[in-house]
Amino acid sequence: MDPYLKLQRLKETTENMTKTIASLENDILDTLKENTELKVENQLLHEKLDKLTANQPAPETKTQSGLESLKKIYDSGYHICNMYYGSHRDPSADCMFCLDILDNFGEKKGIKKDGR
Amino acid sequence: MKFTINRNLFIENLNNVMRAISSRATIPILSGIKLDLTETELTLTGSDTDISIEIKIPVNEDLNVESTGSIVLPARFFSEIVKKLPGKDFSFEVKESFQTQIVSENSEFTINGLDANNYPRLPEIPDNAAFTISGKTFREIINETQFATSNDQTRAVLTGVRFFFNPTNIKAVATDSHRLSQRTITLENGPQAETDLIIPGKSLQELARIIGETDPEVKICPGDNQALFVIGNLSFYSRLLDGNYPDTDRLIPTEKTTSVEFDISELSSALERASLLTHAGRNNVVTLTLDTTNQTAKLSGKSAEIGNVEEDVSFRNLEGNDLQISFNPDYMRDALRASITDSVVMSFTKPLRPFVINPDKDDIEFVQLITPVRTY
Repeated sequence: MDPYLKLQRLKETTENMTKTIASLENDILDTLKENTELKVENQLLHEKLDKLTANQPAPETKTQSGLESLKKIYDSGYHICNMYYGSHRDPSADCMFCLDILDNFGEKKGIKKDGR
Repeated sequence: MKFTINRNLFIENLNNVMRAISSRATIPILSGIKLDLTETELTLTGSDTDISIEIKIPVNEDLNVESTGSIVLPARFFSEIVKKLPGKDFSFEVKESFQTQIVSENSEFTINGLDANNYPRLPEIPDNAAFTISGKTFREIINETQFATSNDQTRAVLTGVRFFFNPTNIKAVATDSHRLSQRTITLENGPQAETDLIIPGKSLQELARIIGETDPEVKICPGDNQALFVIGNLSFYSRLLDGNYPDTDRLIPTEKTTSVEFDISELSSALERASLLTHAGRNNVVTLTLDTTNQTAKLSGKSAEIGNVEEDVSFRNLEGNDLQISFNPDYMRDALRASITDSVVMSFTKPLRPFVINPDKDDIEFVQLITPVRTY
């Protein structure tokens, strides 16, 4: 291929690339805008929710719900054990320490109560 | 500093010191080996800060001292040179500005050394809490637990094996949170006081190699953040891991709903065959299906790209509920390799809870735990 043609091709490619960059830039701007809107909306909703929950009496089955939220955190892929708390978990392999908490936390509480 | 020494004797000791020297030393002088000569002995020292090894070679007919002194030489080069020297003996002389001359028959090397005064000092560990155990026992317990340590440096305590040295036994536990291995061996004369140490897995691996097939006495001196292991003329210093080792006793299930006994060699070969496929896929998982009414045990594995495998494994004493459980075959392979009996008893509780592998003999206290894998 002659060098001039090559150069022309290169020019075309570069122009296309510039176009793509411009469009990506627009996309990013849109996403950022949406993100800010969502953040504000989220905050407003949270405030509303806090007001709603503040009016309600504290839930009675506290241990149960705590354990359940731990289970949710664990199932969504994070460690809940002392050793690895909050770090990302390999979703295919269970962690013994986490399982121990999920299995025995409620039970151990129960034993303590019985002992009193 | 000047001496002549039997080359084989020197190489034998040099090889052991080289175990402590890392090719990626953080402090430049640690890529060297320190030689220190007195009227009575030649001391070789190597260290990578985690592990330090010191060997004393006493003066005898194989080691002739002409003048004392000390020097640090680049370890890799020095050891390669000594190994390739032609003669039975070689002579070693430190000249001006740390230039070291090594002569054997017609061959003469001059290499640049470093000032031994800049070499870090090894910690002084008092031996008032020291005790002695058999090398064979120590090596056995290392080989039965060390493989289960974690490689994750962010949670350093799990990269070590936790040892409890008691007057009547040693208990060692290692876990990487997916599997666990715990071994207790009875001692005839253990330490007077209970000693609890977390020793890095890497140090233990090297120690086991140094102990080798022989059964030397190992003297253990626990220090504050280092422990010293003395094996014959060799002193092995290891960093200890500090931090809270998690309570592992509570992890070991006390109940079981299903149990079965397998012959290790048969189960291992079945696992190896299944691994041929599972290693190829993204999920490295085999499934064990136990049917108590029809008395069958089936091992299966599949890889989405390649195909699947299924095989009946022979077993003994299958009792309890039917069960299907999936696990990583590599963990099981490691567990079986560490086992010392011909067959093992596996006990299960629930399909998604850790299961236990015990030797088929009750008098051997060896518990291994493996966490199953969820399959969706």
